[in-house]
Amino acid sequence: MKRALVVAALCVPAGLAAQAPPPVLDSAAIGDVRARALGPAVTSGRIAAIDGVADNPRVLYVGSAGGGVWKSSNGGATFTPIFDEYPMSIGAVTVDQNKPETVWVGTGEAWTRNSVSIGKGVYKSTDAGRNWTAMGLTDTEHIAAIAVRPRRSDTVYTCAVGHLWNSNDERGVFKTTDGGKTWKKVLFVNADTGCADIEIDPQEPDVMYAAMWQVRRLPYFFTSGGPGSGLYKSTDGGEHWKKMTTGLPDGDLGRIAIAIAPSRPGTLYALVESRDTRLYRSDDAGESWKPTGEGKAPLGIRVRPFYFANIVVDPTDHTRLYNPSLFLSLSTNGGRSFEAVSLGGGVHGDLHALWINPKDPYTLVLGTDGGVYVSRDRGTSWTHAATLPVAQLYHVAYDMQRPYRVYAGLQDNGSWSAPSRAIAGTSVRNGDWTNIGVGDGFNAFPDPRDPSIVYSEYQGAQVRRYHLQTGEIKDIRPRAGAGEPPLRFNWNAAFTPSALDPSALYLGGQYVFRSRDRGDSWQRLSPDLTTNDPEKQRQRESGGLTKDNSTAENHCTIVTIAPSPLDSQVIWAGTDDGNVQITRDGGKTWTNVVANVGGVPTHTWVSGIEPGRHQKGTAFVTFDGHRTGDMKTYLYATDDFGRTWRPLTGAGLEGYLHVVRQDLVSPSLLFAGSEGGLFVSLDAGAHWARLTGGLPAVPVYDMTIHPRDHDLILATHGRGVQIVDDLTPLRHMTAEMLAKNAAILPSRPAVQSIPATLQDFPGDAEFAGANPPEGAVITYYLKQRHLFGKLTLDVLDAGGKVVKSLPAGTRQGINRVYWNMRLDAPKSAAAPGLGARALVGPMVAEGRYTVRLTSDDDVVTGTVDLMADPLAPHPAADRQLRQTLVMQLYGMQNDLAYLGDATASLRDEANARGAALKDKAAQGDLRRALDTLAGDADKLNDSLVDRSGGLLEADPKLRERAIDLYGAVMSYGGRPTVSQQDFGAVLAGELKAARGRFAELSGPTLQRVNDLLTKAGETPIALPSAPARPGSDLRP
Amino acid sequence: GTNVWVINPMMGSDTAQEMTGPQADMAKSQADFDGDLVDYKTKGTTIDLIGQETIDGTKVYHLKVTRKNGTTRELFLDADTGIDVRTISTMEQNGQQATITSDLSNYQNVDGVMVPFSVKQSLNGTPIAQMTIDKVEFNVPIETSLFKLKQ
Repeated sequence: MKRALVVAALCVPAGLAAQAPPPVLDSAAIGDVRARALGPAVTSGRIAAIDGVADNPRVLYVGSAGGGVWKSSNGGATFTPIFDEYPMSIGAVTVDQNKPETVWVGTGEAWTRNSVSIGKGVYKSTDAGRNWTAMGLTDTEHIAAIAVRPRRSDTVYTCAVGHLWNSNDERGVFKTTDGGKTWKKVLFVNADTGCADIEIDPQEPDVMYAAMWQVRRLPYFFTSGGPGSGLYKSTDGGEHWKKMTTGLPDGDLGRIAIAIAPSRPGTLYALVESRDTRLYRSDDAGESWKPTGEGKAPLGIRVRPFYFANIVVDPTDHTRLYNPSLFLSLSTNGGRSFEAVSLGGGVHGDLHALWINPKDPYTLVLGTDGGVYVSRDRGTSWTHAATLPVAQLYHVAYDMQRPYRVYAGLQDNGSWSAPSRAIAGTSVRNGDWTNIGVGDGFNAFPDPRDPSIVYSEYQGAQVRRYHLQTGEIKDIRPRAGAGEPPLRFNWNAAFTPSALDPSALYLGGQYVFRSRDRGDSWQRLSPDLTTNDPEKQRQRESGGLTKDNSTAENHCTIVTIAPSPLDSQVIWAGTDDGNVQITRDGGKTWTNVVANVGGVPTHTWVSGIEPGRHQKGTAFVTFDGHRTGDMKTYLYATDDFGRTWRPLTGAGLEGYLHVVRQDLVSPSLLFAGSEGGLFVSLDAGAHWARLTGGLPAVPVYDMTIHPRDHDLILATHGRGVQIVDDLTPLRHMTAEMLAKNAAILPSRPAVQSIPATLQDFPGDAEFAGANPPEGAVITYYLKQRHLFGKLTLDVLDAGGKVVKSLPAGTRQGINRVYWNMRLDAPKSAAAPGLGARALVGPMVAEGRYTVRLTSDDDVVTGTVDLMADPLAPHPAADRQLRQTLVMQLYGMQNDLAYLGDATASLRDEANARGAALKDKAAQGDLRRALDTLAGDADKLNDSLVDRSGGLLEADPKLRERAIDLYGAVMSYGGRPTVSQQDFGAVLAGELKAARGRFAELSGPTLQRVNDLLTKAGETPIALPSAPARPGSDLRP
Repeated sequence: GTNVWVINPMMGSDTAQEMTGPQADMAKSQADFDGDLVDYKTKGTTIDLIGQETIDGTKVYHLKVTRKNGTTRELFLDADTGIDVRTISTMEQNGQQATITSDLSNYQNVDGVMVPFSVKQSLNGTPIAQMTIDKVEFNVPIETSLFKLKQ
């Protein structure tokens, strides 16, 4: 391209670029209103797949159940997310060991628990995970494995479970020979059977094995196994397959895991689910099989095959087998017997992936329900990767402390609480999280009246009251009375405090229960609100070949209870079998209003109800049909207590929904959480846009709005707690505003807190949940990206004076610029020591400031409010005294900067002139005068500035002592100590004396020199001019 | 020039150090004031169109530039005006891949050339620098001695 062309292209009139998009919210317009990840990573989350690079085992790829793909380049010390633009649920990760820059990802986890997410096919990267291309098979939903043919990179096999909740045809084994451009289905049994495992013989890659699995989930039942299941072998690269039966059990089979011994590929192992699940071994390349042990198979082999079926053979020893399962067990005799591998006591159970370094079989990388662990001694001891924030949350709550804390329940990782921001340091770290409940955590929240009490629950409404000060836990679950039918509670039972009555707790079984004594007693507040269909109450029979009575299929239960925040008599309840119930008289009578909704298949799971925040007749309901294979988006609203409903599924909303929230301030501002992310509507559901800032398309299971801090707090099922700080700008976004070129938006008042210090050095191997950015947030909207001309952002005080100019953000949509509420740092005299405490300016006074955004043809203004820290106890007079002293010291430094630099300049100039004097003049008056000037300037300079090396060689002078006091007074928000005030006066006295000496130096002494210079025909020495700086009152 | 040197006061040094390796390559490529696109064939540079994308909603053309010395850079040109919106450079640093993203804006016409007066840089996604330029002058005489390695 020639330069002339470049310039011509730039001269396109602005009008062309400004073609007005319709004023509808989109992801770009939401802009910098971003989510920040808080964690927890202390527990991490479920890992579904792991692979490493054989030739560079520092490189690991980890596929998580709901939080995407993460890469480590350092053997697991740190991980980076590399797949955030794509589906977050991962079934398979496979490195092409022929070309390790090529990585394959199969989306849609294949450990098919009740809460499993779905994928959208196969993805491929050819640059080690930086860029990804979708490679099809989009309707497979769950992918168990991807295998690359050794030494032939373009031939790849995808082993797809297929749909879990209904029948479909895109499942089984798919083969590509063109690197994924086209796929051929090479093994298919029927529309209810998919592939659960595939293995290729590393030496004879035409030989391969596949496990076919018949599996089905329903909202109320699970079946693993059936006539479709079986073990298959191909000897022609997957073109034809033969079912292997010799030595395998008769009757229906379930999930099968296959493992080839890499050191002896004729030896294989197969973990085969059947009525008598056990491990089989073949020594003739799969032609015949024998059970490996006698009697009942070990627990690790037979427990929950749908969740754990997995066998890994040591790369160098064909008799050494690992069985990642409920726990890790090991056989050293080819599977005849297994023993538990020491997991050091602190390793999470429920294992799904194990990678063994082929070049160093002592290195194991284990994927569990609680994240990744690395062992360097074949499993005797383990290091937890504490950098993976892939927790799967069910619910989240807040309290009213400052900073507020969040409370969350996690899949298989209990319930946890943490501050929404750390007071010390800049991040919420793993150690800031407190465990407040066990099991699979769901709803967890503090007692509104007593912050030392926290409620939590685990599966099936095991509700608990936790006393934080003593650690005592009280089981407060209601139980059925004499002659009453058994109570039914969902896996994820509704459990919530009242919005209006701080003493009331609600719990959902088939009835709504209420407690007013912290769970010590419960009253039934309703009849059975469900369909009570006996056909859907067969949890004890659930599981298929392997019974799995975990409460995961408990059904005909209440899954959401929504007490109105406007009327204590109005309570909504939603059930997993499709009822939307409301009482308007505090529970005396209930009405099922779901028939009024229309458009939703009957018995569709009521995933969420949001009571109206502004009108008590209003409610919003989400339905979730994915458990019957219905992936549609259902969202409805009523304004008349459920008599009539209207759909709110406007353009832009995607995925099956878990939750909807109405903003507390702006009635038309809605938030919807779907399986594919967080969506925002400004117009009460007519249009939606996904919030993409900082938040991948991760399932959002729950959310809540903090009423004091105005944050939106998300429970994501794969990326832990996410906080969207300060919804104030979104509350002021309108279609009219979206049409403007630029507009300032309000933000919540900024708190002028003093940053706390934190002295510790944790290294890199720990996740850090970001604090909200410090300072005042200046928020504005730009209709399009600013590219041409100036764009300046100024902060002005009440008098209209610019106190700070900030670099303006230029992105399309909402920009957020953070101002640390400080003036520019003081000017500091040049010296070897850095004077770290002088690197920040003083905080400005609290109050209202004007912000002004100026472009070449537009000026928009708004305000930002700064307030004193409500946590700090300092009276206004003390804050004022401090501010005055800080500003004096600030000015003193500016003065000293001038004095220091000016004395150095005079000395150097005098010396230079002296050195340049010709011999004759060298002994004369001029020379003496110059020497006097240089000597006096140097002496004064030495009294002002530490000219030693700084740090340990320091010899503090006036500059350094002023910097030290400035930093000391600034680091506390209240009254300076008497000693500090006195010392300020001492320094002021010394500065005054120094000024006197400088006045002598720059006056008569310099004048004498300049007179002599002028006489000698030389130019006089100029006195450096003092720059105008805030706080400085020194003028030469 | 052929040699690169740097003074890094943040590392407590006030003397010049010779710079080598990928950082030196990057510095040398920055000395190509015309940019990668001008006379790219003569320079032995190849340019691939990765595709049309959006940056925060702004339509851009994504180009990959591969220079004669093998270093690469990605350019994102505003689809409406052709101006550089973003550049991404990737280099090895201490065995790890470092990706430097520069967002360019506030273009002003200086003697017929559009110059970005604002540059925001991030390293592996973390903001590291925000540069605001007050004044740009071209073809101002400069002493050759300025480029001499100062020991």
